[in-house]
Amino acid sequence: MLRIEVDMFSGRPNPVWIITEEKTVKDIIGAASQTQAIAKQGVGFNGLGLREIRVSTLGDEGTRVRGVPAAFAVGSSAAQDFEASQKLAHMLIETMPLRSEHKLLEHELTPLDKKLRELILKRLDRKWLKPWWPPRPRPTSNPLIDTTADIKCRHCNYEISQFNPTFWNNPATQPYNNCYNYGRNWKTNTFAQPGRAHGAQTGTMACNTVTAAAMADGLVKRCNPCLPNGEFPRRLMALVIDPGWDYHWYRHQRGGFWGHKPGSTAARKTDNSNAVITNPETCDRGGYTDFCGYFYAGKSVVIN
Amino acid sequence: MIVEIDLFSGRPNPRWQVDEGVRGQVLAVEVQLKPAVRGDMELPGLGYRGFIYEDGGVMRRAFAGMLERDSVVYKDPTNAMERLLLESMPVDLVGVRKRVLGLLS
Repeated sequence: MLRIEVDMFSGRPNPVWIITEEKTVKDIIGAASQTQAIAKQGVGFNGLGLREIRVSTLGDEGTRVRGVPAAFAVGSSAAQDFEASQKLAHMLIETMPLRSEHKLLEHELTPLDKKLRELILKRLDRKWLKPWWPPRPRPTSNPLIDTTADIKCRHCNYEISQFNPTFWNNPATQPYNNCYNYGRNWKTNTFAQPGRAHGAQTGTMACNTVTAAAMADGLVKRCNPCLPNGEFPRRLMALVIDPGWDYHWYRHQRGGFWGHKPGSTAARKTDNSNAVITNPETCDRGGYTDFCGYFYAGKSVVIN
Repeated sequence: MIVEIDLFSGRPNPRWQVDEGVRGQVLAVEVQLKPAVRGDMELPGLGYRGFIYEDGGVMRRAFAGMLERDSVVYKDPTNAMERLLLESMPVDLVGVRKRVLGLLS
């Protein structure tokens, strides 16, 4: 079952309805899984007027579809593919009953009827023809950081920053920050461990366990999903494992190479053969033989 | 005296305390070492990077048949210091010990 809420009113309750018909639910979730149409709820335009259509599952098992969370928004200015997001929003509004069969509290003040549906569709179309939210404020200009399109999935963007070893390689910082700090670009001075900030640390040094721990901190797999602009600055990190012993992270930098910080040693851009790292999959990594994959880390990733 | 083996990147390195007897042996090995002609100790990024310990407020690193103390590098062609510190490891680090022993031999 899905709960649909059209986030558009300021004083009255928003229009809300429940979809119970299994085929319709499947169609909606299926459409959401095939595009970059969905966004996190509440991260897009948040002024007066039609803001987004919110979709939430009612059970605790979520959508059971990869890439589609239990709650998401369409018709949102935060969606990567706004056109697809608008189309999906249309599809949802078409499911709005003209007289709700499930009496909800909201229907006392906002009853569902044809007039309301037409108003929503009209406002949705107006939004599509001429986006009427103010332009998203650009992040503060910083000459040390650029946004780049991901070569593996052009619709995803992330940030690359200038290699800046002096920030890390000083007595107050270097001994207390490791590869995870460097990869996330966050000096915690705690020798941060994947998952520790969220009670999900692992002692098993393998790709799957360290991946799960890092994802508990908020990292997401590369391209699936893209991180929205609201997650600026977004880092691209690579994870490798010395099986049974240790893990290690790299971070993509401006200039096309990768930086890293092995343990409490100095931050650097070279591998064990002293070559500049242009590919963490093939560089000399010593005993860190298992390449686990790439991840994005947005601003909401908390490590400790 | 606290000894640390510089081995990991993500996890904290193992550290342990050695008694006065081992400390005495460490200082005895030190006095026998002669300065190296080339004064740079090059450390690999990932993997074993030697043993670190401090005595009298001075940090030392023993790695790859060399000992660095007060910015001076000494030759240790038989890896005597690394072997001594490896032997001082507590039993719960037996796995680490085996691994590093393989690198020294």
